[in-house]
Amino acid sequence: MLKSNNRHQRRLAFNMLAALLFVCTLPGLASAYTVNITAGNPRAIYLQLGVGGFTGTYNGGGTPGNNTTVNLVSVTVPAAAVGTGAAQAMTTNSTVGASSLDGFVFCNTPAQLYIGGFYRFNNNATGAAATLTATSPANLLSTTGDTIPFTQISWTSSGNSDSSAQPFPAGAFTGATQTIGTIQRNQWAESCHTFSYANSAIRAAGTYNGRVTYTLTAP
Amino acid sequence: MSVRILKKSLLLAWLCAVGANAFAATSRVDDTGTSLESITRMYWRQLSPARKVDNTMEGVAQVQVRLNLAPWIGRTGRVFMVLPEQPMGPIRASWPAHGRFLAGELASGQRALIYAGPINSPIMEGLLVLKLEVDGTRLQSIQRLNFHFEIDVD
Repeated sequence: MLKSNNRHQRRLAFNMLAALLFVCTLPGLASAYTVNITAGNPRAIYLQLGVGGFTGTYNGGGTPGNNTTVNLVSVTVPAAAVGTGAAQAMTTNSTVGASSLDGFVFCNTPAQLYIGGFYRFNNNATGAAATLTATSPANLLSTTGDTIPFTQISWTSSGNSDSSAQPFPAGAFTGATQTIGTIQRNQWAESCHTFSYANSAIRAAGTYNGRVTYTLTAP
Repeated sequence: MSVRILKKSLLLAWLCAVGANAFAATSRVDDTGTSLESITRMYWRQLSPARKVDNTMEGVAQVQVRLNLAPWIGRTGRVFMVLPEQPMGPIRASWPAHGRFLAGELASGQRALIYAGPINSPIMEGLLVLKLEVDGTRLQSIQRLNFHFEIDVD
């Protein structure tokens, strides 16, 4: 009877202990809340030809914006020079010579057209570069329907105090879509293009127009 | 003998019960019922990747907090929010004061005080508007940030 009482008391003690241990461990059964985060705008690109919409400078943490200005590059060929094959330097109506990178006067206006932009991407493994293309029509057209092949227009590429290879190198329009250059991830790239008209054939008098569209594409 | 065992057991149980809520420095708080949007989108703080690179991405998460403080009712304590170290690297969170919750900020691996005072109600609820900051170059997929709460009672 005594042993039975002891067992009973031990069991009672154990049960109480177990119950109290259960109570004292309850606060440990806590949850946690989870915030799932993801990149909302992992890519950003900016392109400026001539007049742009960048406020401040890139190095100063400036802000890109929109500018709908379409700049004109033109040349008037003297009558005596028409069709002589003497290349005619073209000029731009853009007044932008200062780089949006740092404000440095990188291009000389009106002889040169400023081209600059950046590509932002958070992925270190892929999407190494954004590609700049230009799409030109086959011909420049006059009001009377005469044409000049767009391939007659070419450019050199440079920048003041910049002897390194240009990100947007020299070339000539193809009358189709062509690659102008690339911008590496998380970098600003810029060049100054100096256009010229080849003047390799006699053309009918008139004003010839054509529009080239530049497109920066992120992968 | 059996009476001694019973006394020891009861003493141990008492120590355990009291210790969890009084002597132990920190206890985890049950935040079951805390809710928020399923995903928080992060955006570049500085859109252009300038030479003076700032690759911070920011986002805001509104967290409807619900804390079960029943085990400590009638006590005075301090409630902390905790963000453990994260595999993706340093993360900062900050929030303004709202209701009973204090303003604060913390980095991953730290905890920050959100409430200090008497615990008069078994449930403490309120809104925390978290501003999160991460290194955008390391945010290449959905990341799960597991916050939790702790309490120190006086």
